[in-house]
Amino acid sequence: MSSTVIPSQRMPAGDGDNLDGDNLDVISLEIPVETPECVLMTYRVAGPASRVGAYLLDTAVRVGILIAVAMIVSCSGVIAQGVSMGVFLVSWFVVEWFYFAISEAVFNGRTIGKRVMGIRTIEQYGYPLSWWSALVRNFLRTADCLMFYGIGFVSMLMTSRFQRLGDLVAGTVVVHEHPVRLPREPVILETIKPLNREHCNHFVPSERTLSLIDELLSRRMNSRERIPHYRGHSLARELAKTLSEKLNYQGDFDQVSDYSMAFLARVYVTFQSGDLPDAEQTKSEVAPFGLQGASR
Amino acid sequence: MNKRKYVQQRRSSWRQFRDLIDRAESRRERKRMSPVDLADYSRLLREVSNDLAIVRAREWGRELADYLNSLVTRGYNNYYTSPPGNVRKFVQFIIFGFPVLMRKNWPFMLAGWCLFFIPFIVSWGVIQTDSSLAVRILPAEHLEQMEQMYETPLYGGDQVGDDEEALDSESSEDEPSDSAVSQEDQMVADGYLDERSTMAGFYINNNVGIALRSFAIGILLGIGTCYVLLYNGLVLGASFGYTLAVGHGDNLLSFAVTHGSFELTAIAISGGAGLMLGDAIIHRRNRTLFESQKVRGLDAIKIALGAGVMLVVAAFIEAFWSPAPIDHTIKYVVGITSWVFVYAWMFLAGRGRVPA
Repeated sequence: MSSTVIPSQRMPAGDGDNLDGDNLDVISLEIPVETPECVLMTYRVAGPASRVGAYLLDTAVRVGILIAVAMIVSCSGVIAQGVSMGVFLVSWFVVEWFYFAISEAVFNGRTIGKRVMGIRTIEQYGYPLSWWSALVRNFLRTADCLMFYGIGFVSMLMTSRFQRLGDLVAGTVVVHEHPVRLPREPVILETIKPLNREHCNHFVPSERTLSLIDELLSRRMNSRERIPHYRGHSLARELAKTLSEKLNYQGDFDQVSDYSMAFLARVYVTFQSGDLPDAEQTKSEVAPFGLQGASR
Repeated sequence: MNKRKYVQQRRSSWRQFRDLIDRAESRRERKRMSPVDLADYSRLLREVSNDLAIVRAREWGRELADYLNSLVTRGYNNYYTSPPGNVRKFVQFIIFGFPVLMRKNWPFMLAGWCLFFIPFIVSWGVIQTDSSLAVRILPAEHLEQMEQMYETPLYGGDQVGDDEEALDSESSEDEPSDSAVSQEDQMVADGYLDERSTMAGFYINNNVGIALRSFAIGILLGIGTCYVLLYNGLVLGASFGYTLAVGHGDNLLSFAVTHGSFELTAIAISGGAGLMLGDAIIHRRNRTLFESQKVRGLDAIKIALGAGVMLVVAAFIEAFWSPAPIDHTIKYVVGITSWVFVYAWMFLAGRGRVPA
């Protein structure tokens, strides 16, 4: 199966402790696509639920269109009944067979329902949907919708990218398009004391560890997904303990085990500045590849 | 360079890129983008792609990577849009590319043709020689109705020509032709063209729908397609055979001969396209199932769409020309010409051109 992950497209899997699980080798809903800029970007595949929602909305829109046409036709029917009837039948045909295809092709993969549900149809290699693909996937809807979309549903369950038959033939996937905001500035806790360097050895935590701490702490601060402080401490405890061991930390042990977030914040403040005492270790710690790009 | 400095430094570029994407996504704004904007867009797309790679490589956290990823995917999707469809190309495809494509996939076309026309001819021949056999294929009331219908020429008096034609009436579930008949009855009083327009709409809705449906279910190993083709072939052949045996052949044939050239051929073709889909599952030719589907599916859909266009043409002929009060001899001449035309077009058009 040519499906999910082509080896050359694998994400660089961290070889050390994989703390944040940002690793596409595991089963996930993300499909990687390599762009001409030689960058991997990922799309999150849309599951059946949001697609059914979009379908129902679209069905409502289609019915609405037909009702509107019927009303116009019944007015103009006074003058030319036969022509109006013919127009109605043709528009029925167009709405039945071409509503999805045309609106996906024209609106770049998003029908009205899909737009509301925040999903989009794209070619499976990340390109925007082409006219022919839009036609293929929506003509084959007829086969998929047999048995109340049973065939399409089974096909979606059997493929790793939730493709129904029409998607398979057209080579398309439906992906989520969730609006993402720029994460806030990393929490800079000016008031927090850095670790006393005399209490540590020369170990330097990796950038990944630091940004993990950053994410945990900023999530704790973020009002939307606020974590209660005891939960935050217990989430932070393992990492705090490991770090204190690696640092061979001689300071306040109570802080490590009971106020783990505070300890992590101190670690963060200590090492986040970048100009670290021991440059040699820094180099070996980070840097799997491609650092030169960072000095922009 | 640490994460914080990096974000501070790049943030303004990201904002700028996001604004550009927003503009590119709205149709109206896109047209107003200046060349400078476009150059910026292209530069920023590459820059942000680079940022994404850096953030991933340095493992600066999922949130940041997600944010950049969403910028890149949106930007990419707008940047590499497929060329817009264009009417001239489409017309060219239908006239030249479509016959070329059919000839390229001739085994399937031939199979579809045989599956439809062989039962058609056989049941026609058999039932014309022994009309008592017709009851085995068609229900008696249907036969009676048909006999009445073609007793007089279709354009005569109160007779309203409904087609036995309706390839479908039985096989298509959602649109029984009866409704169209009753609608039609109400408007007998109206003018000829007016009344005929309804039928044009009906034929388009019904026949093209059947053709596309028989194409689409071809993906289920082609079984459904075979069924539709065989069924319609048998039923139509039986209707023709019976009507001729009863002695109303002239009325029926003069009606059906012209649009039949497009209609029957197109049904066979769309069935053939459905068989292509089914075959792509069975014979993959060293491709994976999905690749095979994708490669062959495009040809199949193009052929099916061409067949759809043929059926639309047929619908207009059937609605406006076939039932017209014109001398039967002329109708036969035109009808036979159209058969010759359709097959000459299929076999000859677009030779020497690259398949569309």
